[in-house]
Amino acid sequence: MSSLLLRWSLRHHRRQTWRSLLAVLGIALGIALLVSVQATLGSAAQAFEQATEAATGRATHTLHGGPGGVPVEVLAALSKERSVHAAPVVEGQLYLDGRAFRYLGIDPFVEPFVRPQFARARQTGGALLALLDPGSFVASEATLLRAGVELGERCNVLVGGVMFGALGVAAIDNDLAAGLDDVLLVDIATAQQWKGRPQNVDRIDLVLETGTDADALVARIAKGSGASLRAEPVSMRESFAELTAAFRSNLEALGLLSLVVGAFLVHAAMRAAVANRQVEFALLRALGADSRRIAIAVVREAVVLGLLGGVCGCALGQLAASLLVDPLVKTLNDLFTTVALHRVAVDPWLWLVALGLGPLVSVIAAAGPVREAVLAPPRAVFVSGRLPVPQADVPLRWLLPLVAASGCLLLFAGRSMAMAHAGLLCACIAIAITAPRIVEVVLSACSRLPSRTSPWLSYVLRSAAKSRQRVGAAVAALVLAIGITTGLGAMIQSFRTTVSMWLLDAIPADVYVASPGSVDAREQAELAPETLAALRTAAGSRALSTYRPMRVRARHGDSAFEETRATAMSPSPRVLLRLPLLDAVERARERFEKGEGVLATEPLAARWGIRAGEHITVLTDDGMRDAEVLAIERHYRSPRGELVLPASWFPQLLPESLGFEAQEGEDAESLAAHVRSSLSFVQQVPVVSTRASIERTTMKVFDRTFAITDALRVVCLLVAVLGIWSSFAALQLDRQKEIAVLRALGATPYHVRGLVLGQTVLLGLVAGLLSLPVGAFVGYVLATVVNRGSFGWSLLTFDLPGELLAEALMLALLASVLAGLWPAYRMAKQSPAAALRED
Amino acid sequence: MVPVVRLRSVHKSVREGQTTRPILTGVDLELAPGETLAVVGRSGSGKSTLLNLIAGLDLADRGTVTLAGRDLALLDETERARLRQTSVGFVFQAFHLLPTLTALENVQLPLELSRHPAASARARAHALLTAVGLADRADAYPAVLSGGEQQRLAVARALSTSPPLVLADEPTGNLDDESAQQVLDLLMQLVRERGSSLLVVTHAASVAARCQRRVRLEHGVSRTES
Repeated sequence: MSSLLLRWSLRHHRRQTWRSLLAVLGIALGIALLVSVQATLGSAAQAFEQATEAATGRATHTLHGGPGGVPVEVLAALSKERSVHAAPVVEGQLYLDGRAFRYLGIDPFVEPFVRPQFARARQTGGALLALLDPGSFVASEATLLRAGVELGERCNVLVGGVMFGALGVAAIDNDLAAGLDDVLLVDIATAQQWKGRPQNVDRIDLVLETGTDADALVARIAKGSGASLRAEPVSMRESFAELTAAFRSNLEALGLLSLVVGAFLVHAAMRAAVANRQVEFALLRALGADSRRIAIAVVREAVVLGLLGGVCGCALGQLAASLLVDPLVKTLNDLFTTVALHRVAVDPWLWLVALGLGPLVSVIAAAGPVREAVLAPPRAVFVSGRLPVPQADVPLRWLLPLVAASGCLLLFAGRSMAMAHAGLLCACIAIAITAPRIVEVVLSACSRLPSRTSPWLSYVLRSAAKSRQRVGAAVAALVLAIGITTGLGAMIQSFRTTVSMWLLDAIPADVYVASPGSVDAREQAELAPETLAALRTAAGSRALSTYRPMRVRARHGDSAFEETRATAMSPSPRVLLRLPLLDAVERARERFEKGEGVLATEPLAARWGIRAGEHITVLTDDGMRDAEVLAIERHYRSPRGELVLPASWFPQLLPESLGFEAQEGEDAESLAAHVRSSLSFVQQVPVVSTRASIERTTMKVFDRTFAITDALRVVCLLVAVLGIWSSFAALQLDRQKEIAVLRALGATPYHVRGLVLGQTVLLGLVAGLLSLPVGAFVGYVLATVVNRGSFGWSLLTFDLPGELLAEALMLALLASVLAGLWPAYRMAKQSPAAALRED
Repeated sequence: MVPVVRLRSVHKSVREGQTTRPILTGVDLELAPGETLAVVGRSGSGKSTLLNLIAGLDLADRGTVTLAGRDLALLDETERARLRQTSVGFVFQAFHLLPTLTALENVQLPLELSRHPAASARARAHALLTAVGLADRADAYPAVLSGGEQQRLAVARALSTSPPLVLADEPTGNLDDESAQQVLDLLMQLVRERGSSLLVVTHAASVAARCQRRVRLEHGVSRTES
């Protein structure tokens, strides 16, 4: 490649610094969004996997019992087996100085065989043995620092609403503490005491010698101890990626969408760069440059812009990731699993991919402009003035296949998120092709109205309509960005309305009393017997429902057993009657009350492919139990779904929460006060909430869950605003001479400002109006296809509130006003003499 | 009689990178009402710069430029634009018609900018199109007009507000001889009929010969030739 051609390219972009920078910024923002989401989720996944690895160590299998755990007798039986190292584990959540931590109860004597890293504490050897003192714990240096605990200093921990004394006895070096972030290691006996289950452990990690038959071993032990047991290879544990697949996929789709909007910016910038040099390209061809050389020169420019965008995007993304950590971790903890993540690591592979993505997207976006450059006819050098911009629109004949593909993909997407996203992408491309043409048609139609009375207004409208070739891509980007953000808003709003409607049935009792703790901790917590006794006395003749969240292992058909959330419930007649069942399955409520079957929530039913009337197998404390799925329940708490089991199946488990129904004439607040007073003399301090306060908290968690989506919406919009700004600025810069002529004809700076702003606002207004049906369509698809496919949630309503539409229109206007301000100022300030002198 | 244009010791330089190049170094010029004046000179002698200074599109570094009795240096950007609306008509070498407006609308535009009532503006624009022989092309867009027609349209536009001064920058530079002759005849005739003054910047001796007076710009100063 000629060095002169290279210099020619470089100088062009140096002269058009702002335009080139905007293209770089557009691509950078798209990539930043992807990098930030991926980096944060990647780090969260790494933290999760490290924690899982730390918790399982060298274990080849994990031994599980029913929801009550594994009886300690099993340990004694295992100790007689020669080919096995067995390490019991009790896990849970505690609060130290108001902050949540996890505790991991282990047996210091067998740990070096299973989790050797735990034995490498700073005071080696003695450290783990020091745990034998009740209440002693070991933690990483960073965890101790966050907890504000000094070694040797006594502190209090709150577990399941009960206060216990604790003492930090040793620290693990931070570099050995991978996966132990926010974890306190305690002796198994301490953990059993804190959990209130001295006769059970949560699971037993096994290191089996090669060739040992795990199933035979388990059968032998189960027979000997009479316990319900199941061994699973460690490799079968669900990964973080599997747990959060749907959530990740939706965030990634939004990131990709922003990148597509960013690609429009590159396309617009490259088109402007090519259109401005039509005569130069023609001259190069007249001088003997072949099409290949010209194509390479333009592609090289696109690659450089994309590469710069990629570098900036990676840096910006890493920065944004550090801001995303908190909201993302909260969302993950609310919805999926507890993850301790305090900083986002730099992932070189992610950076490499992002750096490659920048140039790739740029080159694809520049394909059209490259074609224009190559086709510049050499005769153009002999034509005075600039060549007309070639018609480089995507042909309308592409529209039909795109619409057909989109319809088919969305119709048959089912549970396939890839198909749903591909369908949505096809629809977006079809919209992008159509939008600029519709804008032109609308403005042309408008321009006919005032032509007899005001040539000035005609000029404003017609030149705006004729600017399609220049600003079409930016207008399409704006329509898409606002349409998508409106669609997301409609989906979230519909979801919000659905959840608040669902809550009326989901929490029919008036007052709830629960053991304190997060979602994870609740599955391991229970109300103490004395607390329960006090509460039952307080209830008197009032109706009561009991709830016990837990994790059970279950399977549908011949699939492998999977750990899933479940709730063992004993419902009152009112609660039973209001269970939000999807289909009116005959006698389902009655049969559930009698313990004849289970309910599956909608997401679980979708994930496992269960229908009412089918059977599943559940591992209970009394062994495997074949259960009929009596009905599918509408449920929005967990995106992974859960089972609802009769409490009568788990007589040995105490409830974690109770629901009280007020008597005739009694209000919820006075009932709550009555319940609180009944708890004055018990050691445990449960949480007493009215239905109204639970509704408020639920909606708060809901809003927090979607806070990250809101952040992504803002970035998507920002990219579009930048796009339309750069395109409008470029358009006005191209019209400098025309505006100078207007000034010579007597147009004042006020006229020029009005012209530029008027045109941008007009384009923004039409784009905003177009984005309304686009938003309604995208929202409907997200709510009914993507959301259902991703999580299995069906929504009760599709809400497209007027405020959301007004907001979309305002956003479009605001974007266009912001986009028009600088060009308007610049054009009004420019010297008409200088522009005319270029003749 | 108060001259339409008066320049006194006008200086103008342009910046070229780090250096400043003087263009005009003390130009004195006067144009009486109804007078026609040709400014001739070599390329780069500052003819177009002079035109821009007279129209108030640019400001002199030193000296005074008076248009219709008003010192342009004392007016702000908007006031200069208003003065142009009422006092100046432009004819450019490259026509510079607005491509998105019809012939009629192009002529009507300066009238609307100077706030003429729409109905009378339309009537006047029609009359001017008839005068330049384009009445039947009123609804045509500039792109479909020939070069000669485009320049005739530009002449009609320049005279739409009946300005006391018409500035023409190489008005026949882009035309063939026949069209050039037609446009020049038309320009001279319309200017004479309306009593406007005409200042033509040109290379062409034939164009300069049609004016009452000729001024040559050389080495930044003006020299009267006849």
